[in-house]
Amino acid sequence: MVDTDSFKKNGFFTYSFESLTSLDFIQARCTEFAKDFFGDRFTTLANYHLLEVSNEQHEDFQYALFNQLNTDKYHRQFVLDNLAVFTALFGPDIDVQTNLYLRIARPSKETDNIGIHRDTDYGNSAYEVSLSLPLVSQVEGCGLNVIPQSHLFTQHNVRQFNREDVERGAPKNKMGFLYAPKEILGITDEQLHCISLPYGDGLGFSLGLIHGQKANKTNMTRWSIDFRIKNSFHPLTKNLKAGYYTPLKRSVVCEMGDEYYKLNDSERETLIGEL
Amino acid sequence: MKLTSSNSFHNSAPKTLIIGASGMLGKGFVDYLSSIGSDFICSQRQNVDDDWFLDLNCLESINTLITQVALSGIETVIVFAAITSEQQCISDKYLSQRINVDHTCLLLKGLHEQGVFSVFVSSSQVFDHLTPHITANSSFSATTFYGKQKVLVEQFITFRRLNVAIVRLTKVIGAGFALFDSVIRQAKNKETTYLFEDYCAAPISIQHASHALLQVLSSREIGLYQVSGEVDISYAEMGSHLLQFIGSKHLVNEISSKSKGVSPVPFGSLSVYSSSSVQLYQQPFSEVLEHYFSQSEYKK
Repeated sequence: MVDTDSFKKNGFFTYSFESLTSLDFIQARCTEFAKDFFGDRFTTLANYHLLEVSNEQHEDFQYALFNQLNTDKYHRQFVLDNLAVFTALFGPDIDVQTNLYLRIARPSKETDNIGIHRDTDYGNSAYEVSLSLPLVSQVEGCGLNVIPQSHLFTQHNVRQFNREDVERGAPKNKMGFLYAPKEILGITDEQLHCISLPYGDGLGFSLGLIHGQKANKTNMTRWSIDFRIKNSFHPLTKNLKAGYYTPLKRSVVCEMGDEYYKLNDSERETLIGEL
Repeated sequence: MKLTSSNSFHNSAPKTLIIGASGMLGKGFVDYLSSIGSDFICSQRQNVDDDWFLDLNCLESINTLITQVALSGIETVIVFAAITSEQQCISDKYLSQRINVDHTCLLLKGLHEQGVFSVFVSSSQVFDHLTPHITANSSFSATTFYGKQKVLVEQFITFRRLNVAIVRLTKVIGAGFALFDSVIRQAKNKETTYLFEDYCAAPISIQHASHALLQVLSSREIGLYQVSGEVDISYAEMGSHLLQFIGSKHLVNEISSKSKGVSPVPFGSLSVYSSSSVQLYQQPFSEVLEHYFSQSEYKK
């Protein structure tokens, strides 16, 4: 199980998952999709950058694959397949982000990344956890950076700016790239810890933790998916879009309660903090 | 407020679940089980009625069914559900991949984890049929999308040592087999019949396939099974035998499959194989015809 003491202290954890079937399907889908999209030129996910595709082609490909993966929704099955790990962290009532994010970070391509940030600056709450799963084993330095214990920082300064390569509502924006990101000021490289993981391991972190990647400085393309998980009854911010989460698992008592209020709808208004 | 409950217990609930009972093979199997008085329950995605709901395109539905199986005491499951049309497999590759491979694997894995024994209905299309009587341990050589998808599921089952038996079937002929029906109709109407001389199969009847599947299901023996017709026979020869069988003097005109843009298939047979004590045999084509007419609207 996850080392919860270390998680609480540092704001992140890594974990080797046992059931990888759904992740295998995601990885296989990415490979198959790239073969169909680029033909014989495509070799492996890690060597994707060697294709030398234009930024437009890359974006078109990533967006099409992002949509395909969100049609499949195997990230949700991944949580179900490894449910005991998540139940230990969140309890038996679990919501999982409806759609996953797909990250493809080519070497030295700064625009493939979101930069160093924390999700609580963008509408998420500190009651949520992000899980990042590499689709290819990462060489040293290829992983996501985190600042340990930064979820406990009491203040930080940000500078908001407009990102020229991301338009509001455009595919890149829908894929998780921000059109007006908030740069956290005063961060030094020494504070950043790069968490490079083998395939099958995951990096989980509080959404209050500062994390990200400016540029992939290795010679392999970083492929990963990430999505957020929360307890169904934990609070969200007012800014989170409706439908961001979908219930994955309900406790027996929660199911019984749902059934009761379905049959006794008039009593529903007496509840506080209804789902 | 009504203080009533809709839940009830069924102590004599069926122990076998048939997944994909609305397709040709599944329906034939259901008819076969009904004819011998066997008890079972089916899953379908349409016209559910007394059946259980399963949409193999929907993960939630699969997970719900697995829970339902565990709660109801189902002990054996047979999986027919798949997109079988090669054209559909090609035209919506990712959908067919999801249904025929990914979700089928997740379903079989989920059933395995519940201690359920399953039969996965595979196909001789895991091979290229460039040789006759292909043995069970031959390397995969699928040429069709559908065949390649069956290979992936077979590999998944074998690699993970799931509590699943794999049964490969050659061409299955059931009641209302379109090709036979049209040959008979053309003979009656004195219309010319054109059939491929170089496209072969080793057909088995739906009754033969069902009997073999039931044996494997009842044995609960995991492993590999191959069920095949005795002879490799072209579609033109099948048509001629059919006409001979009904005493018609109507003739079949043999044509090349290439003339219609179809790749020839020189053989269709498998070497009959059973990895357990289940006894299987090669079905002669005459028996296939007997079975076809026993269910067909056309009588001998």
